[in-house]
Amino acid sequence: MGPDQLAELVNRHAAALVLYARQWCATPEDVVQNAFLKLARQKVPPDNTLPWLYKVVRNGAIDAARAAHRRQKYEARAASAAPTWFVPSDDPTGLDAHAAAEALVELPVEIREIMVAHLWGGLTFEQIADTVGGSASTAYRRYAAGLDLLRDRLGARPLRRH
Amino acid sequence: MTNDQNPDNPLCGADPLARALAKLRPAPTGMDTNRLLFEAGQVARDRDVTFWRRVSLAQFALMATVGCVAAVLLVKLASTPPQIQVVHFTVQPPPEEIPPPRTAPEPPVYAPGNGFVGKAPDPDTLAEYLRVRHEVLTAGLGLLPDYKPRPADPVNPDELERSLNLPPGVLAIPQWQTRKPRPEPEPDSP
Repeated sequence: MGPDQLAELVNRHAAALVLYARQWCATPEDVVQNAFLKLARQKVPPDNTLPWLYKVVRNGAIDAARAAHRRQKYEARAASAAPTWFVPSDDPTGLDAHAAAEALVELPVEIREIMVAHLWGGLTFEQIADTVGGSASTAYRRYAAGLDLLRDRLGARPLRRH
Repeated sequence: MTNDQNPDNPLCGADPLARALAKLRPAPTGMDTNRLLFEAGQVARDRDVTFWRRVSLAQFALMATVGCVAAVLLVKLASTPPQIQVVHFTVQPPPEEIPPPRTAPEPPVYAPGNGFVGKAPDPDTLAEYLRVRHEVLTAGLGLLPDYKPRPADPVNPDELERSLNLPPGVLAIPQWQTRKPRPEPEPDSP
């Protein structure tokens, strides 16, 4: 993979990958950086680069969490409580970034990772199923359950189309 | 906002909450992109260097193996004493020359009116013939040489008569009888 291709991948997907890695560990930037270096080390680039990156980031983040288990629990809580998951939205009618982050933190990790991968990573349910394991229908059911939970927690009412 | 995070992306579905969530942009990372690309280049270079280093090592190992085998073969050849072949020459007596069988010269065939026909005689035979002819014409037939045919296998007429149950004396073959001496020619009277 050439440097131009790698730079484009970093610019387009690094933020979403860091958000995805944040579900498990408190050092998501290191995990994402290692994932990109691993991609540069490949002799032949993978066919589907984005799902491959999400899988590598997920495995790296889980390994990082296991390596510092006790301390990571404290750090995970501290990181999860950090309100800087999203850039504050300029749209006054949009969702509050801080509130959305806090609502996401309350979700179970197996539902949260699917929502993050689908809404901000752009992965399909088939790609998510390949990354986390299981079937695409299971991934969709969890995603739908997560939306319901967020709807309850955010108290957001469905926006009506005009 | 990238296309993947566009709330109008079909991946967001028709759920308004999903579209509203997708509008939120993830916080920028604290990663140094330039440093990341630099390290990625180093990693790719190290991968290539490692590959060619392994190729060089394999080549060196192969050449060393070939060199060792060649050295062993050379030492083996050098230590083997040369084989000297001793050739004995013996002088053998020349083979006995078997003389060709003597055959009577074929006299030239005389055809009246046509002269001598047939195979042309060799010069020696022709010279001998002309000499005898001259002598006979000069001194008479008494000078003709005795033409002795090849002696046949000796035949005993008595045994032959007995084997054929013939009375004795039937096979009175003149040539088997003792020849009377030829009378000497009378000298020419003056």
